[in-house]
Amino acid sequence: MKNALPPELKTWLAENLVRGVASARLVAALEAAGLDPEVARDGVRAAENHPAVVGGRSHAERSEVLASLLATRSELYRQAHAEIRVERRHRLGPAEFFADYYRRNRPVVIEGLLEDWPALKRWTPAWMAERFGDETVEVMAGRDALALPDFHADRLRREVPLRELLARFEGAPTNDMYLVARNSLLLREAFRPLLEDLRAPEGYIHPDLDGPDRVHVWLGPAGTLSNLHHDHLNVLFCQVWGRKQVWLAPSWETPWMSNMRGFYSAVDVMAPDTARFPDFARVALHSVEVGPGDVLFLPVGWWHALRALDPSLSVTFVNFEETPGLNTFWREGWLGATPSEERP
Amino acid sequence: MSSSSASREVGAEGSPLTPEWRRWLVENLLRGTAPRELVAALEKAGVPAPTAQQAVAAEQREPFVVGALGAVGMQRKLEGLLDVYAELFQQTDTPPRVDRHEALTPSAFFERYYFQNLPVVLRDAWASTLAPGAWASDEVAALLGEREARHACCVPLFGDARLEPLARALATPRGLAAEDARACEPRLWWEPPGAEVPLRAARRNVLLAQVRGVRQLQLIPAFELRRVASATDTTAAPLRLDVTLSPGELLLVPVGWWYGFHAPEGGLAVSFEAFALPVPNVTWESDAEPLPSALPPLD
Repeated sequence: MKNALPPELKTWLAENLVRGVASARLVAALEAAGLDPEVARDGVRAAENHPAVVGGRSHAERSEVLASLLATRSELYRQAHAEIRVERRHRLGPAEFFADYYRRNRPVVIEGLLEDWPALKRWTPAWMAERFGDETVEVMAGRDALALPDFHADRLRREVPLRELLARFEGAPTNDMYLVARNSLLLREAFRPLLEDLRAPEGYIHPDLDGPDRVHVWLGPAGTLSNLHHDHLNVLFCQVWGRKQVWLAPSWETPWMSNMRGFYSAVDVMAPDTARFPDFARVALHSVEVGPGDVLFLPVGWWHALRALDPSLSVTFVNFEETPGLNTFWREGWLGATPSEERP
Repeated sequence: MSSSSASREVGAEGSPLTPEWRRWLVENLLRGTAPRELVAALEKAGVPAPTAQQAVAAEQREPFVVGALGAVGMQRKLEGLLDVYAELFQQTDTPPRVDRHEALTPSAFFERYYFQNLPVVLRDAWASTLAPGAWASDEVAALLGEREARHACCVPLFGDARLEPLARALATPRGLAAEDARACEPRLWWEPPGAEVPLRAARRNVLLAQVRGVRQLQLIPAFELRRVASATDTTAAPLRLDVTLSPGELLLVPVGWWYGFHAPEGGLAVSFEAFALPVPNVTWESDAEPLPSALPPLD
């Protein structure tokens, strides 16, 4: 009867046992799901005795204490905010931004911060096609065909002329082609003029934009979707054209986000399956729409999903002023092996 | 170790390794060692490269291992998140300290401290509501009895016949604690001179009102959990904040924080655990029995 349990149930058993769930509760849950009592008992016994479970327990003895501690933060946040929404502030000063949002790990939408950007007026899809249409750009293509397309980003890279990507803007909404941050587009000689049309928001972002990973561009048709994930650092997200719908959930609700791999949640924000992921129902899910000229602060560890409502261009910065090392990193945020080290 | 002792021709469950080597692999995966390094170590021990790769891959696919790694990885991840909070907390111009206010409105108290899970000291008129005679140290010692007063104690004010004279007219800090004194579950904190009380966790938010003597406290933030809990970790001591609490002052000890104190000249205080809010407190259910997660979909 050793192999009577399907692998997903073995995994579920090991994970729960290592978290400290009592064997009797697991047997009961398996029986409630319709498993033969003897199979359930044998399966739990096999899991209990497996070296990974025996050894794992000493590496996970604090997991429940951690989750319950984060639950107190979650409760305090809910009690403080009768209405779950992202604050909107006009021309918020940097001192207040760092004290009330950055250091408190809270999101905020700031208006009026991009008023000096030539990009806001000059950059249109037609202008970009005319100036840069022949240049090739690296996009992620075939996103619709894969679950967790962002997890598999390396497999989806493709080179196309910018004109081809811009041509997608005329058609129906699609998630199939998206130019994402890993391109470091603005570092390429041909696109350098674009950098002149941007400004590092004063007091927020370090003024030197001339280096790797200092400024990123996101460009895609209506319909692009980055499903629920978090980043390992703080991000200042600046919307240049189009509108984006953004969902956010607090970093301290990570235990309830069904995070199985990397930075990604198994929950589809467009249609959350709360029967399969019941914990997600307790999460304080925020929703906010950002439009041209809006800046959204995405705090490190906050879960977010973004969907383009129009053809959209966004610029992101990660080099914050007043911050040791220019950002604050979640060093052990990636769960499990990275795609490159998945197979030795 | 030679390859013949590490590997065998046909392994159980798809692994070419002996049970001892499989245990070694599992333990190292649990420690977070990169699979690549494990392959290298096996090769060094004489296992042929393809066999080593196959063995590590098989272990990573093993369903029990996958589950155990998930739980262990999540603990590591959440501890890393607490470290993010710790770093953000310390990004201030001056060394981190506990704020003190001569006056603080209840709304500022809740918004800036209680809901942010941060401690604060404030001066409050509450102490003036106490009858000076009844709350003199000698009087309180007499109520407790000579034997009990020799040690530090923390006893409920209601439900103890000896303390009835203190509980009878007890008011609560206006606007901060709930108005109904009994609902606040007030406790009397008594320390003889020189008393030391070791660190403990606050399972709920506590408002501590100092009546007599100076209390020297050490507070450790909630996000220091890993460093408080793992006594073996000698490299990183938890962040400690020193606070001196004098008569007439209130201290908010936030839920999840640790506190310990010293009372050089002896001390007397009253704690309140219900706040002037729709939900009077938040409890850290650190001893709750873990429940199974949702079952994966079954065919």
